[in-house]
Amino acid sequence: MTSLDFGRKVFRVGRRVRPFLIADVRSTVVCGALWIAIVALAVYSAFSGSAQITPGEALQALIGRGDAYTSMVVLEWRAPRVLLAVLLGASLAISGAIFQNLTGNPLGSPDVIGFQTGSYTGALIVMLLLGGGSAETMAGALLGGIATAFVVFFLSSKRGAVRGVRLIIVGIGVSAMLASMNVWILLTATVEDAIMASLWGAGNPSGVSWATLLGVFGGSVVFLLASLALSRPMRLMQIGTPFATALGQNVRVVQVAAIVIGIGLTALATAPVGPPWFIASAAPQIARRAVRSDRLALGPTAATGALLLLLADVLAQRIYPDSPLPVGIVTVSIGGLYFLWLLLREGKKR
Amino acid sequence: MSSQPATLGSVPRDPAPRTGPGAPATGSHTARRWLGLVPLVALCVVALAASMLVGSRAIPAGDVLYGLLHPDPDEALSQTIWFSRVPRTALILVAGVALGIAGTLMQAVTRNPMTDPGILGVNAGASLAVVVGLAFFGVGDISQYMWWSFAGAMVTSVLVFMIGNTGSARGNPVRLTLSGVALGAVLSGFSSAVLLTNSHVLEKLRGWSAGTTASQPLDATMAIVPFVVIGVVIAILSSRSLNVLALGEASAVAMGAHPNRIRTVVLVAIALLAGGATAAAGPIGFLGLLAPHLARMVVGPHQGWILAYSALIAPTVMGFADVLGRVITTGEVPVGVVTAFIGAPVLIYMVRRFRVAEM
Amino acid sequence: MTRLMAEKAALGYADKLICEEVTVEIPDGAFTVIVGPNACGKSTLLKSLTRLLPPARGRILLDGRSLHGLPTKQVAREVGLLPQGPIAPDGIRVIDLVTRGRYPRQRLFSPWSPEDEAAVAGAMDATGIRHLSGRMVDELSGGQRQRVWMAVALAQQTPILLLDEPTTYLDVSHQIELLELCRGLNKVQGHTLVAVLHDLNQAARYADHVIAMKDGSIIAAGAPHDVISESLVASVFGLDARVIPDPESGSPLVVPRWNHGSARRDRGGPREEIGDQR
Repeated sequence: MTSLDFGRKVFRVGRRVRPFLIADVRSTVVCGALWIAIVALAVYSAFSGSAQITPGEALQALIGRGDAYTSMVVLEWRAPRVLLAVLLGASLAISGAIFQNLTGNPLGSPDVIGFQTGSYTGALIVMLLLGGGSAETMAGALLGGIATAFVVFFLSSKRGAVRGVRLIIVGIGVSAMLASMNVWILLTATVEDAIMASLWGAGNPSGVSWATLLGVFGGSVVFLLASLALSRPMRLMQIGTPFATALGQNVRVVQVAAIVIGIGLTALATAPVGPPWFIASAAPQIARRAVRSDRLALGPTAATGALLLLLADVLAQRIYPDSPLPVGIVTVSIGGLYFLWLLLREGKKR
Repeated sequence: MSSQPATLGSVPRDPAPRTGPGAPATGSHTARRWLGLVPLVALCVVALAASMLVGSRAIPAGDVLYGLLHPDPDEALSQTIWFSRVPRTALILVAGVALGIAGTLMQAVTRNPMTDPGILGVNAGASLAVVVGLAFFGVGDISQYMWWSFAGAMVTSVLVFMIGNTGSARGNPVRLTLSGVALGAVLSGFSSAVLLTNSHVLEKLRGWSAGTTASQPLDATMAIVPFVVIGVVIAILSSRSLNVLALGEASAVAMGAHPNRIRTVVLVAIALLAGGATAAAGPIGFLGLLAPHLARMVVGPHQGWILAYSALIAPTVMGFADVLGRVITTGEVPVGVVTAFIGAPVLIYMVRRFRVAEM
Repeated sequence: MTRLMAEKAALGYADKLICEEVTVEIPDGAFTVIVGPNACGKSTLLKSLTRLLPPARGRILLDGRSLHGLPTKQVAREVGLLPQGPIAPDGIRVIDLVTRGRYPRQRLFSPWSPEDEAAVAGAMDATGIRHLSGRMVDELSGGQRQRVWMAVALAQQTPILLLDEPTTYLDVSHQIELLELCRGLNKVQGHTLVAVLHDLNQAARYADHVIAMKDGSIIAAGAPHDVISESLVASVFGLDARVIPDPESGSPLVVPRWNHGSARRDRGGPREEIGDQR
């Protein structure tokens, strides 16, 4: 049989006739490049910084032969922070991809819709009203995010199905309510507490430890793997519910699964460090443009998210060496500008 | 009354034909509209009076009235009334009217019932401008930073409009709403960034960022009044053009209107109104969404009437929200929080009730 | 012989019942066309025949079993649908879109098999878009895009294919092109086709079996010659028309009455009759 024109280079993994996987050449190359960049950046971040440790000393510490101070800095402070940035960046990006697919809109992503606002509310309640510590704050953020997501989901599903448009608008409404509530809660606290709480709200990965990382690692990995299984059903949903149903997909089940996984990823990503805005919206779009694919492109998306968050964290620490910024400020600035550019471009299209 | 929009698959711009009479304006219809004004004005007065009467000190109504009519700079009661209650009520009236009209204009010019200056990020833009002015340019009081507010609102309105209403988003109201929300989130993020790194400004603006009625002295509110008046006048003069614009670009041009000119003028009005309200009371959302929506339910799709009703409904809601905020707990719940809690459910109800086309 | 039928089905949406009680049989191996005025329930009926819309009462049967009781993927292997106004995701290539149609037959870890390849190739050949395989869908014309959607439906390789207003947004030459394609699928490859069409004359030409609906009920069903008559056109569409044999195909041709006198007489001057050109 004559071969089909895929319009781009592909290669097959597995048996020739019945391959295990068909991958885009371009997609794979981009993904590989991204991961190389991530590793390079991670190494740079672990080896440099304000603690004045030479790369040689850092290397010694990594293989377990450094002195107490160096080991502490590299292994206890920097390493978990770097790994967390990679993990959370990937989670946020995938969650964004899932929601953008679900709502059929590049702007329909958890930070715009408001799930991250809910996490902030939960954290604020714990921090300011209940006086909890960091573990409790994480728990509060987790619960807040999940609760918000479920509320939005239930309010936007009518007769069992969630329609993208309704999800977005309901999300905006709920998020506005929660945002104003957050401001109110902040008002009831002292100025110092308010500033501290606001720092959390801007995304603050300092003070992250292995405990934090382990806390979210398991859940995030599970959800990330689950999202792989979602890849094909979600591609089908892109052509519209009637067609997807006619092609034998149980749309409602897929939607629920997508929402659960998306919520899980966002909540877990926001809980430890606060909401780093815009990774979830921007990363999937950047990845799609780089790879020029129609599919969810989960691999490149995750890599883009990880790279973005790591980059933002590095910038946030290094830009003013004396007073490190919360990472959320950097992500908002970069992400925000990217966003404006994206919207203007969309505006000029067609 | 509301004819087919030029595009398929758009949100029903106007819920009124389902609930109210879609009949052409007959005599009885107009009479209804006039009549409806009466209870509305009464309600508005009640709301404003309530805001004047409720406060941390319980002052009987008779004394309030006396204090109003006989201002005495030496008497404590009169001081309270004139320096605390009256400015507050005046602010509610001025900002309420401004937001109500700005919301109506915004919905009319974007042909989208799910917008208001808060949702579309205009308030966020105005407040960012104020924050920047305070933090980096040492602006002091409202008569200075209101100009920043106007500028911020103007730039944001134009941006949102350019982004959301041209190209692929044209005729797609949800896309516009989303663009505005995203823009608003970006601008709020920038605001937070500035505030976090300049804590002196954070302290000064703490109460302001959720919308408050408490912080402005009377002359400050008076400073924005001229601009609000200009905005209102523009709105009234544009109401006929907006009625025509509602029929769609092509139909509007066919009837001899100039859509771009109308939009430019209206955007200026929105900037003045939303910018002024935000400068005085902080960013308050949802009033601009609620007021025209409620107005439309009563009077139908006639811009002039919607403007009039919104101008009354908005301060009424704001007044009651303000009172509610003061009454509900010992501390004061900022009025912006209360309006969000009232307005957001309305938005959610709207999107559930009406069949919104897929994008 | 029929495989697909509706039995005393009441169809509607949550707030509104559109069809009170509908019983219809889709003849196997034939090209059936459903016609009727706007909001008569044609699309509703079609949607219920593919399980998109469960009946409030009554049953939709496939091979004697209730459609809604069957596993959805199994139904997808028997009944295919081309819905109205389908959405193409941004930046998708033709071949990727057509491959979506293979979903019901794909297993989890085998995204591409020789059967898939043959089906996709076959569908693209049948619709004549093979040469467009690597192109972006957004760059295609309306006619080409509709053919791509046909290919997606065809890639499913279902014996029964339902089409909801496939010609509505096409210009006339593409409409005819699509209908000829459908006819080929039916006569040559033996698919059972059910299409909702607006144009009565196209329906008369291409259909083997016509179902006429009005206000949620089936007014008439049968061969075009039997169904499309002056009285039916008047009662279903409210149109005063003559029905004459189509000079090309011999099928019934609906010609609305012209009450303004003959064109020649009104405009004056010598004018040739159309018949003279032949």
